[in-house]
Amino acid sequence: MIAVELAGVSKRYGAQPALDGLDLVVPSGRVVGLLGPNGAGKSTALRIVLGLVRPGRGHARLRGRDPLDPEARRGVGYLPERLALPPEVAVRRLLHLHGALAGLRGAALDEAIERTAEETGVIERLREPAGSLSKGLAQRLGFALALLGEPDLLILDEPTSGLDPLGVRAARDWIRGARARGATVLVSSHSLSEVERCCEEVAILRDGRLVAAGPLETLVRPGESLEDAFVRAVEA
Amino acid sequence: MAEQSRPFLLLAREAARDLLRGRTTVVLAGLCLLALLATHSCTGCFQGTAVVHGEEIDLSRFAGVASLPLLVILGLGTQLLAAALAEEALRRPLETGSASLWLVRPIRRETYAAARLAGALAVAGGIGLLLFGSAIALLALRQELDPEPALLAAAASGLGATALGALSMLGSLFLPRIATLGLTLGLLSATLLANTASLLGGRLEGVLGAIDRIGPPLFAAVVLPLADWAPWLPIRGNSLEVALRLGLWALLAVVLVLAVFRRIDLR
Repeated sequence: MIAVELAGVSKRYGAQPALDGLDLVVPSGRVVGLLGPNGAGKSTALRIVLGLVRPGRGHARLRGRDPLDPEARRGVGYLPERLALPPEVAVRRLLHLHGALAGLRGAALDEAIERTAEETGVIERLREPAGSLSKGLAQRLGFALALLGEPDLLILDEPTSGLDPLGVRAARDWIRGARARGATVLVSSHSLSEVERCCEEVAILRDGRLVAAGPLETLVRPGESLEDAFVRAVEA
Repeated sequence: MAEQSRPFLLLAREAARDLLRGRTTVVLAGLCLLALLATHSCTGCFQGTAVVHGEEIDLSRFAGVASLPLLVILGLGTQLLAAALAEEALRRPLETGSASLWLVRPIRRETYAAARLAGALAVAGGIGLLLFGSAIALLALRQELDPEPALLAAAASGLGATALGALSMLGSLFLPRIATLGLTLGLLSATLLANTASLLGGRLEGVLGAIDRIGPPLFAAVVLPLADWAPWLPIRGNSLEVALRLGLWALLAVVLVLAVFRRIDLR
């Protein structure tokens, strides 16, 4: 089963091309890293997958549906690259609202909030406004919002941005935990070492096109690191 | 659509809370207080009698004429407030990027935009109800004026607030705040001029004529029901027809902003 599919997707912002005929398939239950230099179109691709941006040409499918269909986004967790939390809203209320919108109710919602807040390390800050959190804690809260309700598709854009080494290690555990539950994870990152540790497959973008994709063991040649494979792909 | 009703209510309540956070609450409370003081003062005029050239005149005869501008100002003020809040309601989450966090949840884009508009209209409507309610009660108690025309004017103000709010929200998707508010104020002012001329029997041509004939009758819809309080004023127009046109504008403006929001990119 295919979790995410982009077929011939092009997108321009004014005169600036962001994606140029991108084809990408993410199979269900896999952890896929989306790599590429700055401006390669990674964030645009993720936003098209989520229905936040419309493709100029081509089409996107999320579990076989148009991403604009709300049902396509049921059970999806998302952590954006630039996390914008409403500063005055208390952490618990933010989690409560997101959990309710994700379809959780009553005791199940309360239990999910407690468990996710505990897991991501924001349990002590539930009463505080989101705007009072440090960058690292805000990123942990972003993870909590994404992980709330145990989504079966997790889309993470630069997830370790702003996290300290302990946070980076925790993020790796959260991704592995999601994978162990059978969730699909699509993660965009510049941190090749993290991708190497977490992901089973990678897709490399350059100038809005897919230049390499596949399982790590096939993309990375013997004696090479992922960095070597990445450089080879984007400079080819 | 039933599955969208719960998210709609959650998001509308959050939108209203958003708009009432911080300095906005203080500004709105200050404006409310000033409006209530003005209402208290204005509804106290035209009580008792006055002697003019030796003739005693019952001032309550003029209560209707004097109260008409008060309610018109409250009506237009409510519409303007709705426009300002609706402009803010969608622009802020789009600018900060927080809209994206909500919109990856299984909710329709239209549900989100409608909830943000409903939150803004709830705040403006709540303030409008407070002010209209106070004015109507004081006018009924002090001047013994029939409250029905005032209630109809309040309802028309609600329709106008919905139309102007939705148009202002539409503008906020493409224009900077100052431009959207300027255009909104411009539309309200032009409608005020065009409707006034038309209500007094004038025949307008050009842009003002078009605004009067096919535009949202934001001013006329509030004034016409109140004409019953001052039957000797030369106000002409069919209040039902005007209210229906304003209702149609409100519906069209809401449908338009929802349809456009569905198609825009959230960056």
